[in-house]
Amino acid sequence: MDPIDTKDVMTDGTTLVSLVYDGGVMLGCDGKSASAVLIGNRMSDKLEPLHEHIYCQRTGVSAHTEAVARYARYFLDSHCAETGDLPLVETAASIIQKIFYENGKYLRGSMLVGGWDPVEGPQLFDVNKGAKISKKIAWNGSGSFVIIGYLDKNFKENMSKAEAFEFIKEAISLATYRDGSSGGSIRIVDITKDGRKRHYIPHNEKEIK
Amino acid sequence: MLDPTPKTAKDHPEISGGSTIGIKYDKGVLLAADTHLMYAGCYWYKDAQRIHKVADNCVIASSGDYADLQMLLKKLKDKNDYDIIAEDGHQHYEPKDYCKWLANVHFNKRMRVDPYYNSHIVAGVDSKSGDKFLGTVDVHGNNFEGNYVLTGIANYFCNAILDGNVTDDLTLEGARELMTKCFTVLYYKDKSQGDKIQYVTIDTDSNVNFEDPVTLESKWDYHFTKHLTNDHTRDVRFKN
Amino acid sequence: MSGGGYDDQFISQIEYAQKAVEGSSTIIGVVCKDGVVLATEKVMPNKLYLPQTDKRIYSMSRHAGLVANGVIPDGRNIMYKGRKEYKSYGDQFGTEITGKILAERLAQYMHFNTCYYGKRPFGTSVAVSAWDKINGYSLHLIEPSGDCNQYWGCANGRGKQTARSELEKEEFKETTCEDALPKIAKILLLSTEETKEKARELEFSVLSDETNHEHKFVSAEKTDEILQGALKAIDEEDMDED
Repeated sequence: MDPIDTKDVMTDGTTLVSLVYDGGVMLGCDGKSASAVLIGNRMSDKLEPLHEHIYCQRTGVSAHTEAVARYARYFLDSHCAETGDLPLVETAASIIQKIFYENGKYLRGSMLVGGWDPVEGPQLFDVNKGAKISKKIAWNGSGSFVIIGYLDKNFKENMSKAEAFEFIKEAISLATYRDGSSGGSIRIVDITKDGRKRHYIPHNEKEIK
Repeated sequence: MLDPTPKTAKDHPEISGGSTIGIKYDKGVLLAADTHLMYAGCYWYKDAQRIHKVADNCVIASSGDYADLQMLLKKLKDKNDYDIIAEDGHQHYEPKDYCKWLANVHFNKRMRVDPYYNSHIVAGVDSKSGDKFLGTVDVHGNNFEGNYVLTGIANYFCNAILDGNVTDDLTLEGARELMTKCFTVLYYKDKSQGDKIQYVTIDTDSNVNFEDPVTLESKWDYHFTKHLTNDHTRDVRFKN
Repeated sequence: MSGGGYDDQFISQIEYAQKAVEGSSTIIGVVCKDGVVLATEKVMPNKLYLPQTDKRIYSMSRHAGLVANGVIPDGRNIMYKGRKEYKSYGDQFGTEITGKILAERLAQYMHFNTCYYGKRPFGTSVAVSAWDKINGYSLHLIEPSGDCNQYWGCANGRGKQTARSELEKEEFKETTCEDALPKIAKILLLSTEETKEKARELEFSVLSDETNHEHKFVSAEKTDEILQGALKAIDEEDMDED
């Protein structure tokens, strides 16, 4: 059924966990990219900056999602050149949704879009197979399947920054513990109105390995 | 360069919603759907909105692919907005027209072998005559009207419950009771059916009321499930 | 250079277009406390004319309106362009176009028509009222040259001098749209004293919190009521002066 044979293409098996906390949005992901059983990149970066306050996360075929992110960045940049303002997170999500909906037959992958804008504050969108849904917590990727129960049980709205950080760290650690397609270090980006901050947790510093 | 790969259509819904049901009662129309969306065999979204208002007097409930639904809703909004801003003195679309319009869109897309994987229930009240309307559109572009309409697996399970019971003097409470019965059966027999149901009513004065989702009550303590276990039927000797 | 030359620092084609605007009905746009009002007056061309059919105010989207003067078909062309821009922006970015960008794109379109042989400038000037969730209410006035500016209150057409000085006097930023309507009616009538003898008609639209941020036309009955009220008020003032 697939238009091209994607069996040996580099994919981000991936665990993505993102959430909106009190005053910001935090996006977290693991760092393993694999072609079939071969780990192509053991410390890949699945967090793609789209704009100053907007990031997206990739899961699926790396080449596809990286291209989508590149296009989205370009569209968003030209959009901002016209408005002269910070873009809305919804605009970024809609651009990605449109690309996925119109080219869904050729693209294998999904994205989460999170960020902060001056109108609506911190927001998170799950852009999955051409659908776009606004959420307080979103996950995607093969690794997220093994931790959905953990996320459902432990997620609260309006967590503090420290709580959110620990939550994402533990969730991704648990996922990489069981999922073969996820693993390696954890990357987290924390976006608030003051800007964005990157965090990196090396694999050997995780509590659950 | 020409694209060497043939253009293939999406051949199944990806993120999809389960059954929806609509019933006419004496003073309006009752619609209901659960709040679950399924993806990859998982209840991926547990609090999705499956019933949408498309005009002041018209509501649609949809099962099937959510991405296609979002696209259709956008088209409907554009159409509705255009009709309003035109200010040309012509009538706006009534629920009946929306139903036909949706059917045409569906038929058009399926003839291009790239269908919208949705079936809809269109419910509303005619703004001129005050007549109730309840119709359904499916993936092929068929459209029907009825005192009650179903989409999805409900077509297999709920006809037996509703047939003959949806009369002209059915009250809202009666309709809700029938609906609850249908969803309980679906919850027992359809794996894509969730237990959180949202009811929406449109009465003949065109008041649209979106209620908060309620949790279904289901029965699990039958005598045979509790007491007649395999222990009683298998040929095993227990010590005590 | 002939035709589109730069005689005396002016591009004559644009000057001609501006002449078409200056001689035609007054348009007014006002930003109030809770929204934006667009208004225009028009002289009934003759007695056979059917009232309320000569529309000058149009909607470009649920949240954006436009009033045109000068060559009205030109104004309608701008309106259709605005609707297209609204839709294409929404399709592309998933959010509604802001008033500023809509006005700027329309201005760009009007300017484009001043640049080429084989095209002519639009003989119309339009006031664009809009609401969006980013910038709130906005009002822009676009001239035939493609000049586009944002205003608290703007006027163009034959009575623009009087109307502008009257608009400056009133504190519209402190009034609601509802209260502003009679005042605007009065300004419109005062600004076109010379057509006093002829039968006149007004047209209003309101885009405010009260209309749920939607661009709504003021009904014919209410407009008539406002017109009669304004005529009466002007008469009374004249009596006082006498």
